[in-house]
Amino acid sequence: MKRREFLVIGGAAAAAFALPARAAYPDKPVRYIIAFPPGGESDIGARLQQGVFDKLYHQQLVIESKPGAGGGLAWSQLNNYPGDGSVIMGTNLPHLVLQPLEGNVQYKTDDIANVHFYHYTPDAIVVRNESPFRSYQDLLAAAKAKPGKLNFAGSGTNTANHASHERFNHAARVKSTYVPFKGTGDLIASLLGGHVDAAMSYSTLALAQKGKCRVLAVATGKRLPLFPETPTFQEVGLDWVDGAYRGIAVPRSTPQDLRRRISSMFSEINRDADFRRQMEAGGFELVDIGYDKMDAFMAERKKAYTGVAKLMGLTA
Amino acid sequence: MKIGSPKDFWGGIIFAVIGLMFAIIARGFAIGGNVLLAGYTMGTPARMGPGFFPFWLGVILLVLGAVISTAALRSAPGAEGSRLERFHWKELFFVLGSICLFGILLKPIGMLLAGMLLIVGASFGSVTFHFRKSLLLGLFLVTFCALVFVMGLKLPIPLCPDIDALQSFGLCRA
Amino acid sequence: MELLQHLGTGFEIAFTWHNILYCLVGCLLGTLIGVLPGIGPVATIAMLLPATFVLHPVSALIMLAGIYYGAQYGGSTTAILVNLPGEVSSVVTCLDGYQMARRGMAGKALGISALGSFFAGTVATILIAGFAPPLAELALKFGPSDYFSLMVLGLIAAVVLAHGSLLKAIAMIILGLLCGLIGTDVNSGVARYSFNLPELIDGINIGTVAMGVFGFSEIIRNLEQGEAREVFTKSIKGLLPNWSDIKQSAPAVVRGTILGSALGILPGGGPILGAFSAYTLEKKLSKDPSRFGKGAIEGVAAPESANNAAAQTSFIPLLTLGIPCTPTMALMIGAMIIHGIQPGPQIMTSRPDLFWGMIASMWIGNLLLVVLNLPLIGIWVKLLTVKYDYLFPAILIFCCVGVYSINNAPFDVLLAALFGFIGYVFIKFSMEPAPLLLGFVLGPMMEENLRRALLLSRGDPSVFFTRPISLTLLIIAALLLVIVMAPSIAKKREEVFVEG
Repeated sequence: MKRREFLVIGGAAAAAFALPARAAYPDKPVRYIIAFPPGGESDIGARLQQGVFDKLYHQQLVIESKPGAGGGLAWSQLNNYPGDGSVIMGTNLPHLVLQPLEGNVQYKTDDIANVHFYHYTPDAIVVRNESPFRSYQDLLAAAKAKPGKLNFAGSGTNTANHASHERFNHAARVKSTYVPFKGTGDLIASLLGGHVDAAMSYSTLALAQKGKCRVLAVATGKRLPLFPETPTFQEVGLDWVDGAYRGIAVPRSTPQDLRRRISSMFSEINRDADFRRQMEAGGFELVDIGYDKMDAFMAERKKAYTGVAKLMGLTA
Repeated sequence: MKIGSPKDFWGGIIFAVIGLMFAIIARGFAIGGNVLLAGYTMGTPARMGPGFFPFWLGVILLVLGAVISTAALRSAPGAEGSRLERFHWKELFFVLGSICLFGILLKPIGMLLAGMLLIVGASFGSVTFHFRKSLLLGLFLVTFCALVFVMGLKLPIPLCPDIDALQSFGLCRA
Repeated sequence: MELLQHLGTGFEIAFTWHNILYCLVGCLLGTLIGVLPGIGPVATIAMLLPATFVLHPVSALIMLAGIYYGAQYGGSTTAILVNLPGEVSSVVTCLDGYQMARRGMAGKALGISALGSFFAGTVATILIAGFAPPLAELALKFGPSDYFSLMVLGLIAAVVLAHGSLLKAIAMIILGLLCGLIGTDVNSGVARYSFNLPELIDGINIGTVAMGVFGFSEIIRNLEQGEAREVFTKSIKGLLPNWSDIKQSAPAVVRGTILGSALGILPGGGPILGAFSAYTLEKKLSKDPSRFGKGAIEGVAAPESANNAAAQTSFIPLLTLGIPCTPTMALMIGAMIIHGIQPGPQIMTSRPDLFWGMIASMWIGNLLLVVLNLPLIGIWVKLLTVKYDYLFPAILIFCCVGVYSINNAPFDVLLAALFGFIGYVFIKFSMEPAPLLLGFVLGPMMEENLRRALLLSRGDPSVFFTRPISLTLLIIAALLLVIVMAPSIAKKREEVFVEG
């Protein structure tokens, strides 16, 4: 029987896997490790890239989740992987800069060889539909009336969300508590169930949970077309335009030409029309920072994040 | 003094030792101001550090182990199943040894050879061991695994030894 | 009847020949990976995911779902035949299923597990069809403190599994919890108990522990019996369950289904927690609890129904809220996104074809699995007549390849060998490994929720007693503990009496 069963399945599996085309790179499936649980922004972005990758390079991009420690779990292991392009990893800013400052994670910012940043999500405060806070002003009034009582869910410790929370507390002169989750995918249940008062997240969360939650304010320069009713933080009096960048990194042992190749591959994915449409519908802002611009970009970002790091009590 | 139930007594000791080890590693360890082991941050109940939960679990295990051991000391001796059983080191050695060998050799020599070693090696642990039969069985099982796992399910398991000359061989890359 | 109309739409989609074919392929693949120890649905679905890109989204999801619940069916086969949990959720099935097989009742055990699973699958499908949105709302009511209390209850329930000393069982659970904490702390990023080994930074996979503690140690135990070993009796008592077997297990199946369905809706550990609690419940309700662990048919029927029901209802949070409860569900989300479907609360209205088609296909899949599995029983039972000298090397190599394939890490194979040694020591000291495994699964979740609950309450532990859900769960746990302790306390008094 085993043989018969095998034949059926073997046949099905063989049919399902198209034979990979002979090419330089990628000549075998590429493992794409995501440092956050599925259902979050990093995962959604990666899944959308996965399809285009397959289409353009006729090779599988196998996504693996390794969530934990606000992404630090996966990033501290990045350089243990072989530098032959078989493993790439999703990275996030400002996480990569803030976490090593605190010192508990097992990597340094410069350990991570970023090759490309491909999108950006603006910070946003999100509440569930049943929440008593109709507007940012309601939330602010409650936070001022009951110092230290409000709970904000966020993705990870020393992450973009964590930094945003400290920045909000400082700029709006309130005191509230930050409750870390493994990722945005994990905090949705607590937000919708009302176990936390709000989420310090990104505008994309509200799009994914359309009809279940509201965005109170976003950290963009002007209002988002997808949320015309939602004010920016600047409109409500906070000087705050920021968000999280997501990109791709490779193990340090990866040779320069391969890094460039991977960088240009993801630039190409970024230019795909279907990909652009799907990302924009999800509220992701596409950027295209390639390997050649990486050093300058990282230097500029590192400087920008030092201010936030001070607010968080992290010492450089 | 005679131990009532040696099995429970030593079992309890094992638990207690493991619990103590977990607790010490969580708490850290210092002699006269010299920190030998840093330990993990304990934190406060509201903001627990990474050491809090494992430390207290370790302590609970230590206490439980101690209770099991003392109860065993006082229990009536000679009860059924209270004696320590003999360890069969030969079987243990051949089975676990072959598994370790498989783990160590899988990447360098590939699944076909490492699998053969595993099967023949582990078969030494059986009293009814028969070399020729285990060789044949090994051949069959290794082929079966290669077909199901590597060809069928496409799992990335190396089949052949990690030598460049062999890797260019179509079958080896599956 | 809006529901009937919806179901009609669903069946219309699921009953097309190509969707039935994909459902069948999924179920077959699932059964295969379920039977093979170590290889789980997560690895398989992850590998197959990009391949489904070319399929129609509904067909792709139908096939992936088929792999998932097919694996639940297949997992119990290995548990019953060789005392090895093919899937983690079939750990409990090992306890009585394997004993039944040894007594020549493997066919009955396999049969009742297939029938029980089918019943559970049917009920769970109806639940999803009729009540998915309100059930998902209910699941949202569970806060961190409620989860913590639920896990306490689950762990107390696991204590009942042990036939031996209560204290030893509790100690095993704690040991499991501690082992589960090995690896990087999710909150702070500190690597705990990893001794600077990069392989341990990510923690230990449950499959590695299960293969070692159940698979390897059991092989050594059997080998050491020498020529006297006789794992299975030669006389086979009935190939399929007869009417009296079915009558005996029917209540267990119903109770297991209810428990499993309820626990499946909650994020985390649904199938495994469901199986453990269902077994515990049966053992407590039984007139003769001593039969359990020695081949009680209810001890197979209840956990098998529960884990299948839970596997099915864990789709509820996914389909209604877009929240993945298990790693497999997370991959299903990935499959949806690949196909441009945004998972979330709007999916029921925006893609009714997908929602109802999948639900209908689940029932069809369960039916296919029963039809596939019942005739297979005869062949499986024949497998037991294979001499152990041929059987154990096969188990060994499947386990080793399976463990390796979890992370493609040779280190995991060595780790499994270590757990094999630990499991052997457990056997020698009469300690049962099943509670350890549950503790191992729940450890990290328990810590995460404990920390979150106390952070939300600003360190005030009374939160566990003031929230109604949490309080109820803790009261049930306390009652259970009293019921479990009572006989042993009574026995102690008896002993004292005898000695005095």
